Amino acid sequence: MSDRSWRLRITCTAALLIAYLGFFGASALAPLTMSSPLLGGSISLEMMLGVAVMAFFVAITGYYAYASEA
Amino acid sequence: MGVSRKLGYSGIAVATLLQVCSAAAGTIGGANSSSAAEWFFIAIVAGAIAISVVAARSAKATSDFLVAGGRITPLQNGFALAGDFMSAGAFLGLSALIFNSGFDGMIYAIGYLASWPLVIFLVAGPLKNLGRYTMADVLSYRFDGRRVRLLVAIISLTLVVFYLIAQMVGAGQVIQLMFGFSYPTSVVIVGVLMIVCVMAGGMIATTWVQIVKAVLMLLTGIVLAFLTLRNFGYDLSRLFGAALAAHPKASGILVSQTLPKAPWSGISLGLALIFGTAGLPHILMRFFTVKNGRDAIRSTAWATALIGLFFLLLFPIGYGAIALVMKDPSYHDQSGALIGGANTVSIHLSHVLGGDIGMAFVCAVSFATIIAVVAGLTLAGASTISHDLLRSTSSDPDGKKGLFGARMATLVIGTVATLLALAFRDQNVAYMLGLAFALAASANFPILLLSLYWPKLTTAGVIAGGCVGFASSIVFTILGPAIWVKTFGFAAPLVSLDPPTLITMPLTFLVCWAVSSRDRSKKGAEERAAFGEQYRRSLA
Repeated sequence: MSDRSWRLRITCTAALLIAYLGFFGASALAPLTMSSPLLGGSISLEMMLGVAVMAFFVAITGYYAYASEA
Repeated sequence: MGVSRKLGYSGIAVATLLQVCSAAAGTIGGANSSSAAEWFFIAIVAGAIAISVVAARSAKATSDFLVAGGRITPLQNGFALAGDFMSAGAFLGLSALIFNSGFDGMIYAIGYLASWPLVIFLVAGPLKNLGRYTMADVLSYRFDGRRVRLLVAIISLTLVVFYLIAQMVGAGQVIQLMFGFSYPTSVVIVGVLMIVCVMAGGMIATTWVQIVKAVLMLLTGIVLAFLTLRNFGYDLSRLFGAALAAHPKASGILVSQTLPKAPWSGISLGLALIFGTAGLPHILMRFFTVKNGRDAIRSTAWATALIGLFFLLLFPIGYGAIALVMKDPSYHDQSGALIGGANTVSIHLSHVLGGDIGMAFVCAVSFATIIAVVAGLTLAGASTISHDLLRSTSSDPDGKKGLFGARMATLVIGTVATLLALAFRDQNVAYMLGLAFALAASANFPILLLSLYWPKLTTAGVIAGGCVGFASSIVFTILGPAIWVKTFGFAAPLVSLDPPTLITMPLTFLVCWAVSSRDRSKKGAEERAAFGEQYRRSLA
């Protein structure tokens, strides 16, 4: 087995699942922890987190495509 | 002139045709929405047929028909994957979910998007390196080909049929609303166009229909989001502030309403969304249309970026719809309900922002979306029938006889889907999409993943795990809220999870592990020994 390929897969998959579970947990707990409104009270912290997680998914996919060819 | 270039010109021609129609509709005395919608509708139908006719000339063998001869470039395949994945449900349904519940729409969007990195990390490259036409090729590499092909064919065909019925019934209702046809006429139009497009041009035509659709859908999303933001002075706080003021749930639309109430169902849904995509036959099939595993990875990266962009655009669109449509009485009937239901909210928003022409264009893009997705599904079903079930019976599976068989399989799948969509007219079919994702995540994904990465898996484990994943997904969905309560009318479900993936997916992994671990047969030992060679080839 190729150690490098295996490590890349495991690391990226773990990062993906941690980011997703983090977003999921924050969303599930938001009403209990009282979400923190931003931009004058019109956007919640969870929404900003969601946008950041989406950007992270695109970025990590691009990184994997690049790193798997290197 | 190369076929690819001809098809590229066909795609450009469709876009130009749409612009010409737009201009024409604008000049027809006052340009009401129905005449503009008719023009756009004709343009989409003509464009799809033109692409199919051009593509038909190059579909000379089975590989051309099923996987475009592996000649699709990564960028083209990225757009086609995005076009295949972003169904009318993703566009109209997610906008409606944001319109009704706000933040909960984001949970779906992130679940759908999270599936794509997983596909690229675990499945895309190895799938292309080990297979030719279907996922069953990969499983046949070291397992008993006849038995695993039959199993995967049953799972995939069931999944494709459920997915197709959900899409076709939704298509019938949406087209009825958009263009004023009756429901049966709408379903037959979609069915006939789908069959003609796929039978004539196979994967080449389907790919270009999906590319054109993805471009149109992204353009629509960008323009709608831009116009929405312009309406609020490009100030996000004004947009979201107006949405909060208009929505009865007020600040409740900024946080999840459903997750804290039903966290286990939320987790189960999350599992179905992120692992389901890696088991959907029409998505997996697209990885065979490129040259090699590296191109499969590149195309997935493109698809992820495009899908991520589109889902991001849905938020200004969804919250813009709350701000601009929710309080506008002209989009509500006398009872106060949104005309056409919540699924048409993007169409109403396009009318607010772009008038009759804008609305007609969005209707046409939604129609193109439906055609692109059902074409992909039909081809996946045809591939399963002709390659996994009937290949051994053909004397010339890769030549003209194989091509004829694949075309006949397309006709069968398309006809069955159209008839079932007509039969399910007044039924609640929302659960079918959930069931398709549950099947993909609970039956296809575990056996594919273990076959690629677990050396000790044997044919016995694949068969037992796949059967348990398949049966448990169907039984638990029947006993769950979607069918037991909403369809059968019982007071409470016997299984509260909807979808049941939290139970069924681990169950499949467990059965695969238990049966393979106890398999002491000589055949099982040979299959384990073959893993090293398979793994090396999967990385090639």
